[in-house]
Amino acid sequence: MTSLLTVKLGRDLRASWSRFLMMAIAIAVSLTAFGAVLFAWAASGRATRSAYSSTQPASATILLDRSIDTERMAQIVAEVRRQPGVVEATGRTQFTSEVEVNGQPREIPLQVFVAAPGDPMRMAKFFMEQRSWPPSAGEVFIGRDSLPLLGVMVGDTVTVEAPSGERMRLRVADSVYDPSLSPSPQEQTGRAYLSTASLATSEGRVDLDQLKIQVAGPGQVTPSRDRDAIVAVASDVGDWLQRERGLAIREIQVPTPYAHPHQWQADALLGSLLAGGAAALLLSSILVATMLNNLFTQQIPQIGIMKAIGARSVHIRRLYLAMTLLVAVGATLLALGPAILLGRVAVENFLGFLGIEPVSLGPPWWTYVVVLAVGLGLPPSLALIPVVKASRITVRAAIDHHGLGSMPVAGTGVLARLSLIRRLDRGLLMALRNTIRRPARFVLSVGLLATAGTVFVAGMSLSTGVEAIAEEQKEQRTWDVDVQLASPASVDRITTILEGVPGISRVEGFNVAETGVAGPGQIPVTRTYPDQGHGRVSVTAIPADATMFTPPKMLEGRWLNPGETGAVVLNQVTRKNTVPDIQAGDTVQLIVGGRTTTWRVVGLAEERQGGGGGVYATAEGFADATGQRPRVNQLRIATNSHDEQTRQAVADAVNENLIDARVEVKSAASISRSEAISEGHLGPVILILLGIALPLGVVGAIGLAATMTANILDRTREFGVMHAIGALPKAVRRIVVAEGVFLAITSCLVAVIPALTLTAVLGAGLGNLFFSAPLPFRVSLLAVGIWIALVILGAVLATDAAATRASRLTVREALAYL
Amino acid sequence: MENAIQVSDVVKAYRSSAGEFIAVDHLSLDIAHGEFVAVVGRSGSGKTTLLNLLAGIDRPTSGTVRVAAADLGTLSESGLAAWRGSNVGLVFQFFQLLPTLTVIENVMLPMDFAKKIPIGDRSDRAQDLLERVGVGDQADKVPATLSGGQQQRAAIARALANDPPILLADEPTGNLDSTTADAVLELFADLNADGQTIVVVTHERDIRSIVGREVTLIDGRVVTDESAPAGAPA
Repeated sequence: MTSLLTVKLGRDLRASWSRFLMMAIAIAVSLTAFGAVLFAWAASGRATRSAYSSTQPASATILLDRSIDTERMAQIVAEVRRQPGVVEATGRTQFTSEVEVNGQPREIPLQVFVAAPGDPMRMAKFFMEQRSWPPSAGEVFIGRDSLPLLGVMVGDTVTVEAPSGERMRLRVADSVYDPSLSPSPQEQTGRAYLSTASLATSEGRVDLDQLKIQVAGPGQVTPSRDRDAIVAVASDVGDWLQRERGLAIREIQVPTPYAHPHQWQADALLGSLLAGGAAALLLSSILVATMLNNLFTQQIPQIGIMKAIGARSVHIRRLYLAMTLLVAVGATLLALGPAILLGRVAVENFLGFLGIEPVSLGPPWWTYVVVLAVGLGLPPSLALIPVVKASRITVRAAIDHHGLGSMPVAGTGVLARLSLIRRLDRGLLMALRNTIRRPARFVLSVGLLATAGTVFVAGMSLSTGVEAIAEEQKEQRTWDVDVQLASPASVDRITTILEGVPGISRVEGFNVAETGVAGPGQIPVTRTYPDQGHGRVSVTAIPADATMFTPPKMLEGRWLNPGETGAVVLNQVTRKNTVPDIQAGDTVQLIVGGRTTTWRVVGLAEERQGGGGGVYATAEGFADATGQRPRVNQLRIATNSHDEQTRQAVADAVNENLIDARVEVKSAASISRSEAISEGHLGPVILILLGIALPLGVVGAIGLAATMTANILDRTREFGVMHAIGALPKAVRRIVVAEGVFLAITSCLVAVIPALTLTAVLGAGLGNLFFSAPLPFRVSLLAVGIWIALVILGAVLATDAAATRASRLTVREALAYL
Repeated sequence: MENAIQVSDVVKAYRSSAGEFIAVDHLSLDIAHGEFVAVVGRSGSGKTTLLNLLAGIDRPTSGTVRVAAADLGTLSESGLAAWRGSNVGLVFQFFQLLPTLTVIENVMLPMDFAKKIPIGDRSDRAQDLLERVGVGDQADKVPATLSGGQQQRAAIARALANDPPILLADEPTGNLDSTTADAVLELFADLNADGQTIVVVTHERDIRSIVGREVTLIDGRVVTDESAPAGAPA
């Protein structure tokens, strides 16, 4: 490029700085979003993989139906280590207890992980902050993120109830960082780590029921990433234990290898955000290409002159490519800092969501390369066509160029007939015609705005859909207090005990029992994580007169008939994770309390987050299968006034009354805790969806402003003529603003069907990703209202400055315009 | 010696929705080096089309146009641009200076494109040309701050930037008041006196007093081709 063209480039940039700034902002906003998410994804992925792997998680956990003592477990472990494909093994157990801190009861349950004092801690590890494994007898380590949740500090005393029923006072000796678990606050559960030495009963006996193994491929020592291979080896081990050692296996738990329990959620969230950022980036690049095309169109006379005095296409191409590249460089520089900053904030939040402490918040080097390549490469690539087109224009074509759409377009004929309508304002009519004078620009502008509006409305609508799930769950939770009993009890007895508790309007009892689901003759295999929460399956026995249970939507087959025996309904998550090929009418085995029971699947239901344990039977059917009278271990209690104070008071009173009647209570709490867990999981999804919508809104608004500015610059001469024939500045201004509003309204109308379609498609995709079922179809009227208001207000504001400028042009200025 | 301009049986037709329009109809014209020729005629007579054909802006439908020893029909768009930069200076009715460059930069720009003038000499040459056309003191101003006459002088200086053998001007005085127009025409006369071949398309009736030859067009045909009494080939 010649030095004078460089000078011209600099001055053109200065002369149209506001347009270039808008272009740079449009790209910078979307590049910031894209870069921040990419940085966050890469950095959090690296930190998560590293932290989760550092715990050497078990490939599989084989749950024994009956616990065995530590000596026998040690023998089994030694034998299992010699089994083909097993590279490491250890015996563990865990239980959940109510907890008291310094004698004060806590609402939050405590999940206690137990290992032998001599456990080498080569797998399923956790990290003590000050001490090392094992804690002394009478000591307990508490999960670091559980400390504030339980209101406990190192040095305090906690009281827990051992599986034997014995209450134990334990001194908190240290805190533990365990990145293999989801964070305590999200699950509203405390975590503690004990050695069997602290658990020993008065008879000195401690039993373990979990055999954890690490599985590797042939000749390998690194644990396998192949879940199918792990399932095969673990099933072989399970068969061997049953056959050779006479141990009944309740379940084999094989979570996704090398994946943190919340990893898929984080990946899905960041993946969605990245897709949103990429869409915003693509839109902003198209916008910039359009704006540059407008600018080139405006410069056609100048291009003509340059060619007339000897410039070749290559001179022009270099000039405008340099212009585009400068915009890209400016935008990338603008975006890089905020992207890094936002990326770090996002990494911190996401790792907090996963309960992982980052070693470094810095993204990997390759992400910078990607962001720079995208920021610097995408706008010039998309601008290449208009640049080449502009550079190839002939002097003749440049001379013939008379600005905006001098040739009539098809739509003009239709619009011309509008003038037949009497009393139709001629200025508005002119504005309407002007909006379609350049069909390509009209389509691009409307398309850009409509796309932004579509994504904005779809994003907000998806948020509404997600909120609808929470609302739906809230509506279905017609009770106020959840009570979990340590062991099932007769419903009549419980009802009698609670009769005298004030504030209770109704009590219903359910029996929820952990279960394994398998095809006939198979050991149940689940995806359950070590926290025994994620991926856990349980069967819920529903009484015939239950009013505090809403049957889920059926996908296949039917719901349970009252009092029906031998029949179960599975939800879609349980089917997918345990018996993916099962259909209504097939037979499954449920392993409940050590018994293998056979059931006919009468229906498959669809449940979103917060559904029951995934398997449903009638109370009578469950009693019949287990050979026991109907009993309950979960109570749902409705209070007279559904306020939090009453809920708490009733929960406390129920707890006291049951304990007084010698019924062991695992927990008795207001349903606010369940709602808190639900919100803990849904909150980030909503934020992410809004995060996708907002950058697109900004890009759309800039697009509108850019289009209107270009339209006006194109028609500078036309405005001069209008002034020359007597148009008042006010009239010119009104026409220009009306054009912007027409364009905005058109984009809203165009966006209606795409917005509905995108909401449905994304709702199905995201719903299946997060909740294993499509999101409820909801259109956010608020989003529609906001977008229409935003786009019309934006149109007025975006065109006002340009309209004012146009209205102030003198005839001479306008006609001399080059 | 070959003429500066040789137009042989050229037809230029335009197609439009109303049908074919013949702007130049079997026109032949030779212009010798150093001539100062005015092409006159009413609106629509084809005079601007003829000038565009001479500048390589338009291509003939049939016939040949040779200017400065080049057959313009054989040159590509890019080749025409390069040829124009070295051989033809163009002056337009509305001056058409680039608004974001100063006056002297506008004059230097064709030198950058053609690369005929050494880089170190370009600024001095541009200043000399501006002095020659009488706007040397306006060199560092942007075009919008100059009067119409000053802008047209600057445009003439730009047209002379690469010392082209031929100067083509399309209604160079059409946007100027009569006093300024006279001054611009005087400038053309001076340039012609220095040996420059000039073709001017104009409406001006009294240009005969300055030019050496006047070609009148009607409906794209040459109806008169007269040597003017006051003009004389160099």
